[in-house]
Amino acid sequence: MTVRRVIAVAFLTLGFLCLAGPASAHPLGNFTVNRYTGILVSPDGLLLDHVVDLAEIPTAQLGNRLHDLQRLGAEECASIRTDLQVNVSGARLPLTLESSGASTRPGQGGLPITRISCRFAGDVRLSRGTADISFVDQSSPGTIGWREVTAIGNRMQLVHSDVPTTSTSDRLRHYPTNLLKSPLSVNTAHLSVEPGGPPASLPDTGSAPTARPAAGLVGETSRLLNNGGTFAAMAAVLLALVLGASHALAPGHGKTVMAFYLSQRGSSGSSRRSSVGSALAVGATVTASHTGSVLALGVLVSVSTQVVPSELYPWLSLLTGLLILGLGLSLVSSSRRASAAGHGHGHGHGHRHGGGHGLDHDHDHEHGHPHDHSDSHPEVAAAPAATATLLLDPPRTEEAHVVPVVVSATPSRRAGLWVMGLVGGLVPSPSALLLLLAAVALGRAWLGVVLVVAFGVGMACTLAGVGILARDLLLRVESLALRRGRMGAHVRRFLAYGAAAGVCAVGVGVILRAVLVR
Amino acid sequence: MWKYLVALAVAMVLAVSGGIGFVHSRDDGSPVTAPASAREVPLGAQQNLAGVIDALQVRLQELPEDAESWAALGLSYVEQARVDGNPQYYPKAQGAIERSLSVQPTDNADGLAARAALESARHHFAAALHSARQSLRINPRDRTALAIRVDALAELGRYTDELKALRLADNRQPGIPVVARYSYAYELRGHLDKALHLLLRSAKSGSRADQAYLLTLAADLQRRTGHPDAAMRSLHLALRSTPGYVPALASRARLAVAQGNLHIAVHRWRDVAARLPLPEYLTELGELYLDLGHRAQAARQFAVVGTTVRLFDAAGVDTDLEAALFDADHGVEHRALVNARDEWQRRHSVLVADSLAWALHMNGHDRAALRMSDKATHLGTRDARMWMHRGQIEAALGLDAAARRDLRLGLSLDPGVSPWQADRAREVLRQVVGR
Repeated sequence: MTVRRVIAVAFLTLGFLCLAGPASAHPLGNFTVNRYTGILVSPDGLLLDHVVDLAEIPTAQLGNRLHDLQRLGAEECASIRTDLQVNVSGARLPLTLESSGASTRPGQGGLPITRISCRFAGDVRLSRGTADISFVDQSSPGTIGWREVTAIGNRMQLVHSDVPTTSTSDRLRHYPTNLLKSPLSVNTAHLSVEPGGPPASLPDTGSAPTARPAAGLVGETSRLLNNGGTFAAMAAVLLALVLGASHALAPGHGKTVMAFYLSQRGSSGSSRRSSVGSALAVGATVTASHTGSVLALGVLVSVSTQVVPSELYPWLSLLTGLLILGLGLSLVSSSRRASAAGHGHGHGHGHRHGGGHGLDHDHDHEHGHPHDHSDSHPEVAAAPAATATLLLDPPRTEEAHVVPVVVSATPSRRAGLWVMGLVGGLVPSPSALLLLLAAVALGRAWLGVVLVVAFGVGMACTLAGVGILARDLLLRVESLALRRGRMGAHVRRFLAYGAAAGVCAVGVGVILRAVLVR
Repeated sequence: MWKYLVALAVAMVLAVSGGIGFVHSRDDGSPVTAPASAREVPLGAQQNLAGVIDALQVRLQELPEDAESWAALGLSYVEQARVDGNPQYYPKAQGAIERSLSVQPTDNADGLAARAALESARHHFAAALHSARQSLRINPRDRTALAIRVDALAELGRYTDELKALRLADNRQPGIPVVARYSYAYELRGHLDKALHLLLRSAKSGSRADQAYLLTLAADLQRRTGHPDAAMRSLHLALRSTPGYVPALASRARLAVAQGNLHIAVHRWRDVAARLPLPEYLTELGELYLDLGHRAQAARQFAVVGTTVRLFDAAGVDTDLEAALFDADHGVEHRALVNARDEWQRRHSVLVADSLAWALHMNGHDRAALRMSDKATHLGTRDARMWMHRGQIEAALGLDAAARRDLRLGLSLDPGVSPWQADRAREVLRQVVGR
């Protein structure tokens, strides 16, 4: 585990975000065992790059051996070594195992699939004259799957070769879907080589599967899980944090909502601390609800064979939509109350910091409501907030957690906080679920739970951080607008109703989509 | 004048380039033979399948708008998948068939027949029947469609219609495919000798790939009718024509069980399971381990089957009948019932009825199980497991005389049946005889 690898993995994360989706079936069928051998002919010997790609069922056949991937790789490669026959000018070339590795990644139904990579070397002097090389892969005869051999020369020329120089499957990462090509079934090669030609090397032979970034990252995390050491476990947790943090950066996570919510928490500079506190509180609720929903779904999926996650998502988004709609409706009613009260500062007063409240309430409750200057500030801030949210954060994915903008208008602040957290974390992220299932598949469920918590914390950090930043910006704009001119009461009321209606509309939209997608 | 010259020049260029194009496509040689052979591919081909596929691929690179060749290629892929049990060909078959039907959306009997074959191979029998009928409406003599209609009707449990379709196919396109299907019809109705005779006859004239397929079916019948040596010979021939043909290897393992060589059987089943880990193979291996007292080894096999069933569920694949039987015996009994009922909704074949009867019994619904078992056995199919199941259901209901008769019958039908299943039936028989 090098530092560079960690960095590479972190970068992969970005790709992961874009591509994370339901894991799909192995492209070649669940029963296949696919093998590739790349031969590099150099003047001082041969290098063989051998890759085995096991689909879901053959992986399941490995059973307990999956729990120790390093050992699995070493054992498999050792047995493959005796099955690869290389003859140079008629004499059998002894091979030595240079490196081995195995990794898993989730395939169909969250089940792991396995990739084993081995590198073998055989020393032989080829610098004089022409030599004939023949290669036969006799490993696992009769298994069904893709079989491919390639050969290239390094300062050697392949005068004759019956195999191509490059892998059409990108070393078992992308199987061609061309309808006019039969699946490859090549397990032999015959080469004539002589010295000369440009230098070359084998393609990168890292053991991490990189077919899809999603796969690569989870595979990497699984590998870390398998290492067993404390460092590896910590690295995996860090990775999950990064994953969560960057996951929340993707569009549709209600960051703007968070910003406007926080702007409600205290619009004057004096209460900066409390708004940071609120940010932490909301972050905590997001983490808690997300962790809870991932764990619940994970338990359901592992315990019951009838639960298919993709069937649950629409229901969860439906629930999210209902929550948003509820918020919107309460907003409408409070706007009406506010306008009935005249200048729209008739809300929230009852909740001002009072005796007998616990410490939390410092966060949950408003101190800095600026009643001292310019009446009904909250609504001024609130109304454009909701409108802006609608523009910035259309419900793009099932995870779209938009809107509970004017939470301050709900009867209970604390309830608003929890609704906020629920809306943000109710729909579990598929990536977190994958992490959990991968950990469970590897027999380390507890670490999976830790990873999911870390994932949630990462998400919350991003949401809160972005929220606080945006809040400052918003407050600055707001005070500028107030200094410049006065907004009429009509505009204010219009905006308040518009926001409420908008929140309702988004809620209805999410509900409709959840219903229609089903 | 000038205009005429230009026109003449253009005409000449066109003629020459057209001519070159013509010669070029002729020069390739193999494509020309492809369409002719393509018609012969369907089910019971004379040619070497791989050669046909190569030729069609080359031809379609030249002429990508040839609907007939696309259909033939799709059908060849289906055949290839069946011949060596390689599911990698199914997505390709689907792509080729869709291509054929989009190039020529109307009057494409070949494309529809190929689609019927693919759907049948994927066990979507209702869809297969529909496509076959569509194809026959365009071309009533389409060989593939005639054969697939017979298969689909049998699998859907419409046995009277199956016989009618079979006679029609025999009138319109007699040949090996029809003979092989007559054989299966006899087998279903308990006439194993006639079935065997037909299989051996068609194996003599079939292609190499079909030989392995037909001889393996024949070997199973030979084992069941008490001719293990003949079965051994058939399997030897089958494996000579297609080395590593997995169903033949599985049949060889069952033969070892029939001959009482359980350790050889374990060895052979392990080989089969390593090559193609189908649920039914793994279950038989696991049951063999159970019988030999290797519980941990058995549990490992069953764990893999459980995983497979979960995978099929997740993918929305219709769960195999074997998987439902597995669940009833070694897995989640409730799930077995759900899956068997689903399958019964889709089709009413005797084998589905047997699975459902057994799942009902394992879930404690013995009366319903017996009613379902009536449906399973109404053709008189001489299937060992079916009768052992029936006997155990009757024993549970206290119908001792019937239970004794049916358990004895079941135990006599196939010496190669899983010894664990046989032991369980024998145990029930002992109890029934004792009371």
